[in-house]
Amino acid sequence: MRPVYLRGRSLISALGENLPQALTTLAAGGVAPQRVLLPGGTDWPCYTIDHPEQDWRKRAQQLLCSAAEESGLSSTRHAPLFIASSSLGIGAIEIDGDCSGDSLEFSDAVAAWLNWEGPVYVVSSACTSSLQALLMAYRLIGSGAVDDAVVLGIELPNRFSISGFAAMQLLTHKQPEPLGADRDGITLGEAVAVLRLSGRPARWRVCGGSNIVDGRDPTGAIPQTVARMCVQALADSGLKPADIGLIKLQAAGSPMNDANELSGMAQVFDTMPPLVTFKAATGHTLGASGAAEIALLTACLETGIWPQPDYPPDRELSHALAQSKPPAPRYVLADILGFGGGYAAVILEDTAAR
Amino acid sequence: MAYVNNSTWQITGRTRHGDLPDDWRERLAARLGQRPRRIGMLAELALYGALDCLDAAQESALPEDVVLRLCSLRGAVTAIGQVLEQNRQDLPMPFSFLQSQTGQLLPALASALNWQGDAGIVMARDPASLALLAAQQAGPDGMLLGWVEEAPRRSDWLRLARCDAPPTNFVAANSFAEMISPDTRYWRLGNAGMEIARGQT
Repeated sequence: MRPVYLRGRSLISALGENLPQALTTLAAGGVAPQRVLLPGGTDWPCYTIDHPEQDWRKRAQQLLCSAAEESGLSSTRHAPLFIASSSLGIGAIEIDGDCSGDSLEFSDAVAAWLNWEGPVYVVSSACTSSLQALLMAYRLIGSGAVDDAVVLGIELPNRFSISGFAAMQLLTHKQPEPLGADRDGITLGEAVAVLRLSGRPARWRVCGGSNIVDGRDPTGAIPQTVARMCVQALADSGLKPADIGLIKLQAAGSPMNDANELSGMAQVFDTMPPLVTFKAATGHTLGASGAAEIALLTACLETGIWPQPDYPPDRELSHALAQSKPPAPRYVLADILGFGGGYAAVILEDTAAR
Repeated sequence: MAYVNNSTWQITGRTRHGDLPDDWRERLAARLGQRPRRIGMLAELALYGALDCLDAAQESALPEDVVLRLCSLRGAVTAIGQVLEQNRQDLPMPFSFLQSQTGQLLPALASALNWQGDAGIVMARDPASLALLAAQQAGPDGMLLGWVEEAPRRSDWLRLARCDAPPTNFVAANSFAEMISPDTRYWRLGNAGMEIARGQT
């Protein structure tokens, strides 16, 4: 298997219209979520992208083209494109009231907006979608089948997801507090993120990963499966637990899931590496979250800008979030846990830390 | 795109129905010993087809390292319509929302199969390209591939296992129909795409 690198990235989120702006916003303490009004008059916090266009499709097109430009996609339009999303174009369907089309109408539109000429795949496996897409792209390049592949994580505004998560009583009425003492739910977020993978060397190397679907407990993460996810990702990467210098958690602010995730990690890591999560900064961007958080994670590690939780930690949990960037971690594990039973992890190497 | 994977795959099982039988839900309940609860039409269809395929492959359990890939172009369209209507009336129902999330059929399927492993929902206009992608990425335990839709109703599955003694009469597959034809017994990735071979049942 030949090495696979992260050669380009971009992120549009509540933190800003590109990655440099996201870092500036993060360094300044982040942003508060907006309130999204549902038809019955209830409103929920949501980390939305600040963009002036009102038309859903025009807005989506502008955001995607902007993210593509930031990540330098123009040179890879013949490569496989993996579009990863939980909600796809449901925001447009809500407005039109027409759900007679299929799931690929949205990806056809995205490919047309980007003038894409390569094969297009849609991965829609809920919250783990873009990590699954990353692993597919990684294996495709690693096998030598292609030189480049692109993962495009997309989660655009819609009331469908917010009302659904609210109906399941998973949302908090305030800002999310991952691993916090008073955490009581998650907050959703909007994001467009691009990860451009290549066989040509770059600073960040994708070492391997794992993807497990386990439906035994639809209400929350199973610690044993979190542990298995880590063990498989380490084995796939040829690494040991002690090699990992940082873990980017799912940790979204759920009372049970945050604790179960840590419990599973503790089964693998005798000495827990420093921990970080971005859910208090961007919200949970569902199918885009894997790509969005890897774009932000790698940028934070390069610049030293670090998310600062402004809430008290849960001292009953065995571990807390790192307050600053750990010194030069060489290998970083990033995971996403999906509701219903999705578990995915990717390990990256910072080749500058060798 | 030059696919590279030296494995040859044998189709060891496939869904046995042509069109789904009218009583597929009753048959699924009989096969499971109970009616599946609150997983939604799409997940029930997927489960029916997957179990039928595994029965045909004479496998009582799915091996741990199988890659499971499912394609559904329209997804859980019935539940999506219900949720859109519930939201218009400000009456969102949690189980309707869960059923509307196509990705949620994976844990439902994994749970019913008593299996935990690498599963994903991947879609593309060309079904052959999905089969190529899965074959390129599958490990030693092979793959379980499904194409499931609510309307028109279908749940077509293939179980492919790695073959250690492949035949030699491979030819390029001209279409997806050729790849899934009952006459086709083996798949192999060639430089130009999928190659197929017939063989003894």
